[in-house]
Amino acid sequence: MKIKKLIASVALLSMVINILAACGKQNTTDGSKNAYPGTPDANSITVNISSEPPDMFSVTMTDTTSFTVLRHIVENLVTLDENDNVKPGVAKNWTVSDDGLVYTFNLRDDMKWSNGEPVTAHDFVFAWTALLTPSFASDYAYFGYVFKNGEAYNKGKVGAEELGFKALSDYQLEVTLENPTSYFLDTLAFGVFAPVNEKAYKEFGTAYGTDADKMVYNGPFKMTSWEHESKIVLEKNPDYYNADQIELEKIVMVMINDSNAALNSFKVGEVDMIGLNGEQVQLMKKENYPVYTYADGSTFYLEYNMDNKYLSNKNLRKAITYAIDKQAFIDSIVKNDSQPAVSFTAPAINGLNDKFYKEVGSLQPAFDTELAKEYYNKALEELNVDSISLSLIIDDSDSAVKNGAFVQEQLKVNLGLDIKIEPMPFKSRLERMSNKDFDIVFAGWGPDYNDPLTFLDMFETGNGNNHVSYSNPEYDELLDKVRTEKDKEKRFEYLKQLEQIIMDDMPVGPIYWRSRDYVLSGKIASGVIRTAFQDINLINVKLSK
Amino acid sequence: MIKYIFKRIFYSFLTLIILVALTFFMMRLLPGDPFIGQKAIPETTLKALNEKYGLDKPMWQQLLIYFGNVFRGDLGISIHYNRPVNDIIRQAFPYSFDLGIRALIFATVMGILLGIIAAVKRGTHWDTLSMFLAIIGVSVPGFIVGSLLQYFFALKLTQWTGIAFFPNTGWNGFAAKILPSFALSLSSLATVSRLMRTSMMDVLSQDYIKTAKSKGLSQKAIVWKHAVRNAIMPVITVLGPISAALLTGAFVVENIFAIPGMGKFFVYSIQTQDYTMISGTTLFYGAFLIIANLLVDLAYGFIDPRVKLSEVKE
Repeated sequence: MKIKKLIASVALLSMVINILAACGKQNTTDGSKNAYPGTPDANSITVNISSEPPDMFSVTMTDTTSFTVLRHIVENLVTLDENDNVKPGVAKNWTVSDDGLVYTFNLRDDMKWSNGEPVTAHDFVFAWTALLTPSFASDYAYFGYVFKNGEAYNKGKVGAEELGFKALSDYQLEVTLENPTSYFLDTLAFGVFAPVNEKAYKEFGTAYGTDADKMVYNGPFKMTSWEHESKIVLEKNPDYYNADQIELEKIVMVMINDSNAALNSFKVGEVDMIGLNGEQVQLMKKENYPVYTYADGSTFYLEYNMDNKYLSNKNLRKAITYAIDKQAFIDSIVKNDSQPAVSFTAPAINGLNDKFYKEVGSLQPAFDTELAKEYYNKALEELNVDSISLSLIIDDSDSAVKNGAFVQEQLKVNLGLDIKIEPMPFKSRLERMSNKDFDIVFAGWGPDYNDPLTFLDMFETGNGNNHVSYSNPEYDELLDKVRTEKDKEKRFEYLKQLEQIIMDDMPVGPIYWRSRDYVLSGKIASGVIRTAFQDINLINVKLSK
Repeated sequence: MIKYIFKRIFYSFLTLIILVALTFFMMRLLPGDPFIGQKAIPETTLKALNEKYGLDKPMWQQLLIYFGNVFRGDLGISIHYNRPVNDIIRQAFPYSFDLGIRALIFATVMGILLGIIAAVKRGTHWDTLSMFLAIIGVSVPGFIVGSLLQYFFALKLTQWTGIAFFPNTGWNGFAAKILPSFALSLSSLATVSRLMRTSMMDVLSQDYIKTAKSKGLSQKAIVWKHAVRNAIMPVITVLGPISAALLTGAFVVENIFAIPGMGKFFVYSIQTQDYTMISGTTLFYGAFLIIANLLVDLAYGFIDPRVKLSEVKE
């Protein structure tokens, strides 16, 4: 008897739950009224940064999350606006010599570090010297090669006094470049060029940047607490010169790694901004909830190892690239507004007057079976073989395995080409790539700075990122010209030629340009900046009144 | 007894040393290295990094240096986080321990109770129900239980009622601890209850239980005084490995509920090939497991007077 009662009450309970669930659904599908309210605290927002920033010492920093946090707490000579254009930061203004080699920066004289020290030109000299000093072991040391003698110093050929930057006074910094570099100011906004206060660094030593109280701040916010693997709290810096323009008193950055958990947290008002994966984009769109999209500057592509006896054939490389339906790839796997790649350099990169990819135009069909087959038959003929066997190495994550399966299926159906898929751990794939031990690899590249060179210089003969053994003397010569050309128009003409050569020789087959998506709670009115060069920038966020 | 304990401690040390050495060599066999990334790094940097972490020295020297440091209680600096491994464990472990001990207590108490009920009410609905729960616990993985709990109790319940009974993520306050502890406890609860049921049924069919019954003892007295104490031994045996597993960090549950515990370090340290972190977490887990097993063996002696520890064969 008791059991029957129990079953009856369970059944009743589940009916009630179903009815309530149905009510809930009606509420959430109701378009405009459904803004998730967000966190309750006034003048404060909470955003998900997914993971722990491993390193907050700008000199050795390499990962996006760390740069995201740094952007809010340490200000560089220059910063970027919402369109990734350069604007003054610590430097009020600057002059450039006629030959484009010498920059003189005039610094604000009213900025302070959180330890009370003034922000001076010496902080930049210290940080940039550290960046290039081998004992600091910075992965991004090569950024400093832009300075005169940067590379020579890093390789131990000259002393630090030969480096192309010096403090003319506390508030004046002179920088000499190795070559005229039109994108120099853009790179200066990058985190590795952040100033470091020498006194503070000496105080904390190698522990600098490992805790909230083991580093100093000069930016719009200060880090007041860092619970490792859990959350970071940034509070408005009252000493910042623009403090009265900043509305937020507090930014809480939480690290929720599980994407479903993050979405739940967003919906219950624990978080005001989260990133979405493809599935979640579709879910939120079904709810008619506004989803924001930005191009993150990455290109995803197939690398064709040119040491391979089949892939050394250009027509085969083209056949494979053209045979993949890139829009279908995005629709079925990426599931957001990413674009099919019709050239190599990603859309976020600036050209002469417009975005570079627009100036270059479409250099490959997004999908063309006929053309692909034509190239494939030509390749078979030239190689004098009946069939070709190749393998594709990919990561062993769920999404990467899907990528691999899609490519495999497309090549089978559209070309009749069978390829083998080899999934492996991330680090194994990287090692196989760096040892050139692969036929085809599914890879991606994100820009380091806002110039096409950040994509195109990887195909230089012997470049550490040239895993495909591409070598073309004409290409190398053009690269040298790009590096030394002072005339902007000519320089971009050369860059265009580089892009055309790559898309014609096709050592890599571009698949798609990635977009990323995020949602905001109703609490945030405006001011969130998310671009290819500023993954998250919340400095000027305005709240709904 | 004392001699036995010393002997066990000695063997534990030996086991740990072998564990560390094996881990040390095996992680070096992984393809790739800690510094390889998507972008090529300058050679001067690579050289400096290898020097910084002592990876430029011959392997045997690296191992000796590592042992030396471990004996001084220093697990080194994490290559990925640039913080001392000791600090990372010190910060993360309390969360895992807090979560684990709650799950462990719940799993043990509920598991034993369910097992007893199932055995005593054998063949009834109670038996079916508790074994149904046990099968669910064994067969449904933690990430599904965790996600479902989160979806229904943290998200849907909040949306339906407008009151947040359970926070979705985090580890602040008692309410936040309920769902993750429950999610983590389920599979251990299932193991314990099934073991307890089998063992209870075995004991209940023994002659001395019949004797007790014929003496006219109440059912309650028979179960609690005579049966449970004898039936609990196999459960005590599995508590060693279960507590080591629960207390040192549960990757899946911690990940879903965003609890800053130890779990992720076991997984990510291998993915990032953070050598010092891999060694540190392995050593920590190994030591924990060995201590837990030692405590279990000692507990035998107290629960079952027939067990003489000095006679136990290693």
